[in-house]
Amino acid sequence: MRFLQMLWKKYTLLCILALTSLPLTILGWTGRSGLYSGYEFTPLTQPGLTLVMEGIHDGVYPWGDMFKPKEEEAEKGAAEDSAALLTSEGAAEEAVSAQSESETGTEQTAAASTASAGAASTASAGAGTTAKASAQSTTQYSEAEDAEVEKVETIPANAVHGDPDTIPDGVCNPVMQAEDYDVVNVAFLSPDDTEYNTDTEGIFAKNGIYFMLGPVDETYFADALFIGDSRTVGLCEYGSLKENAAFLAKESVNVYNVLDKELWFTDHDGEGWDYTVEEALKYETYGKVYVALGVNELGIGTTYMYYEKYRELLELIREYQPDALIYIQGIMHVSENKSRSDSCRNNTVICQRNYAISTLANGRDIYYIDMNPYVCNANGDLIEDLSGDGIHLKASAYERWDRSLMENAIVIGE
Amino acid sequence: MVLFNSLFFLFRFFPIFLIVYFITPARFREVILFFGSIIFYAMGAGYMALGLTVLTIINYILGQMVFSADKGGVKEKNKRAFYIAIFIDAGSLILFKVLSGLTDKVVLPLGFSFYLFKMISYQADLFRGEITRRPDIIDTVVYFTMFPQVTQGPIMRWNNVGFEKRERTVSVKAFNDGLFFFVLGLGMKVLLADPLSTLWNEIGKIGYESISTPLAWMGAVCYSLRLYMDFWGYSLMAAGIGMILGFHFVVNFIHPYWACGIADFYRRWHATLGAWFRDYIYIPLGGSRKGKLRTVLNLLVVWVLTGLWHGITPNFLIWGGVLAVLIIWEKFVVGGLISRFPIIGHLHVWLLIPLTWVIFAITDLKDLLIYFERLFPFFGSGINVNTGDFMKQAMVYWPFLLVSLLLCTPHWYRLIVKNRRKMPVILILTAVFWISVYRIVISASNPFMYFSF
Repeated sequence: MRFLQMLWKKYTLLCILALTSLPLTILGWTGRSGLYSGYEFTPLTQPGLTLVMEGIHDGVYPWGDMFKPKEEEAEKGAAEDSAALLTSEGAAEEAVSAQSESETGTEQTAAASTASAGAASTASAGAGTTAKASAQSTTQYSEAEDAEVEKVETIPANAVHGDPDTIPDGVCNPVMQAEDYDVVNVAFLSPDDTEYNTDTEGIFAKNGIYFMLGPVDETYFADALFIGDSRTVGLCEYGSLKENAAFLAKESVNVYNVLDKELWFTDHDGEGWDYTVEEALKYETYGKVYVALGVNELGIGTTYMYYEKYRELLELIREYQPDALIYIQGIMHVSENKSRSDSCRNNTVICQRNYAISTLANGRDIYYIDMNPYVCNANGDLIEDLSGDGIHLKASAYERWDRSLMENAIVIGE
Repeated sequence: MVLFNSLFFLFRFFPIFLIVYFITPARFREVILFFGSIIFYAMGAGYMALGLTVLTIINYILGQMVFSADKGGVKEKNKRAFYIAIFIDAGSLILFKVLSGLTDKVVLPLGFSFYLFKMISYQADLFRGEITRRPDIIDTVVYFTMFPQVTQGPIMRWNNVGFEKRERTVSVKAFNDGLFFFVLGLGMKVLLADPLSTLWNEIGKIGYESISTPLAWMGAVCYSLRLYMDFWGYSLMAAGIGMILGFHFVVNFIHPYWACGIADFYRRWHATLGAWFRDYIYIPLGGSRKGKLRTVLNLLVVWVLTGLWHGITPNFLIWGGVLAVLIIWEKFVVGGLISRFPIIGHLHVWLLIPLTWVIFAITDLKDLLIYFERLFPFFGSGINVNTGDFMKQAMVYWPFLLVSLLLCTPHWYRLIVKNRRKMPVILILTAVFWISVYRIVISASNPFMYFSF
């Protein structure tokens, strides 16, 4: 006791630091396979207390598990109820989602450990398998849920987009191609027989109207809403459309968190306030909704998970805006230096993801447009001079994005 | 590179090293320090640690030949060894600087500019007879390689940290003070310098041609503060570690932004580097004792070399040149005025130093010119400037700018240092430590935090 008193008196700061780190370390170590099992933990280089801090950052508090068991039990009960209805399908779904989570892990680790094309392609093959498995499970699920719905149509990812049979001759296919710039060959993009589920039932607006790509002026955007991340923030601040269109954007949003966050909303008159996506969609009726999301989640999840989340967002937009044209904007590429130095944020992955989301377009009321030809060189790399950080356009280069939007708008083709 | 502000250093390397260091009997502690330092260096620089070891041994051997026990005259033999040593040290420094500047294939080894300067000063001190006791091998290798200083300085001198008299004492007081300075430095680096870096990157992201003039000035101030908080913070951490291990505190920054004039600023900024150039270049060249013309020439030489030491791109040359001109201007033209009205000296520092840091920061000359056009908009107009950009950034970054500005005045710092053993300050430091660790954890688990789009 005397010794401790002496220690405290002599080394106060050291003692306080040691005393405060002790509970954090214990919490981290005890929770490492429970509360914090989702976090990577390498004790050799990382103290246990980092787990607690990462948890706090993600809203997982150490005292959280005191309340957790109750919730889990409730969930369990609910799960049992529904299990009676769903029988084996539910379990299958769970298994698949678990698998897809583990695949994410593989992809991230593989991507982090090496930037070599070999490893990246292995990871993407993994993603492909998951995609397939998951797609099938969705099919089964909807069959089980509603026998009246006709069998979900799935088409190969490399099929022609749109519905060629219903588009009259003379109207060009209004969906832009997701350019691969020869950096990704088709075999790599869609390993073996990857199938993207194109069940867009409920997303479609009225039939019978056909559109084509054509040039427009600024007034076209008077009823447009742009949803996106910091790149769209830049478009709002430095583009020429800010006086016409409405914007809903914020730094660091991605398809996984965009629905939960409050974003900065700027309406057509230039007034701004915080809004969630849902609030902004309820606020008024838009003629066009442009979506540009995808750069923040390049290191998160697989391409298929990204695609699925993107699709959920489109479904939400369609729910609130049944008559709007939806534009999927392909992810803008990054510069060559950035692409080469980053195992996740590179143009190969971007091409792959653009390809996946381009399949969500249907050529009737959902379109895929791609600005990359306006800002990239022949290799598909963002031109270095146009960007200060290799990821965002410089203020002086937003004019190119504006131009791509104005030259590639959907106009009615009677 | 193992940074002091990394989790691995804070929670693995440093505590384990300290335990081993303190349970080892005092006379073997240097050996532990040497091996710990080599491990530390190798973890950051890999096989370059071999280069450091070889250079250390060569310098030790040559140093033994340079050292002359009898005070009187320098023998031919000593002279030859000294020239060989300088040739090897300065030669390899110049060679690597030039090669790494010209090609991407050669990388300047970690801390190269710092430890080679230490080696040169060691040989010069031996040659001049300023080191009176023959250095033994363990002191020498520890001096060159010690991990608190090997990667980013300060450029500690043999005589002023207790090597000369072997007066190294581990004490409770020194340990506590060392820990205090370490945590203080950590906070400056993580909680101030890093957010300010984000602001500076934000300006690059917009593109210099499109920033408003107020934002351009905020950028210049921001970069000046960032560099200060980063480097001062680092120096405090290094000095703190040194104190914990039993060395003297190495002074590297003496409130430079409180200086009266540019020359005064550089006596206070990165003081160990300035003193090195003064003692081993400026004074041997004759200093200011050989007439006005030679003084001007000597100042130019020193500042051009200082510029090149930082990097061999043209902007560093301009940076050094501009500083030389400013210092000459102060010395010969407005010197009297400044001593009568110190405010002129302060204004020099507050207005001109940030501008020189802009030259320091922007390596591309075309971009540099554009930035100056935005600082002084009568030379040209920007492209697609958003006049609201200043307010947007100011709203986010004002707390970091404000606290950094407060730390530029000596008063706040002195107040904290004076009360460092009092409970409120200890509690504040505890908070600083944990918030810093939290920031480090979040940025480590999310390496793209600073690039959150």
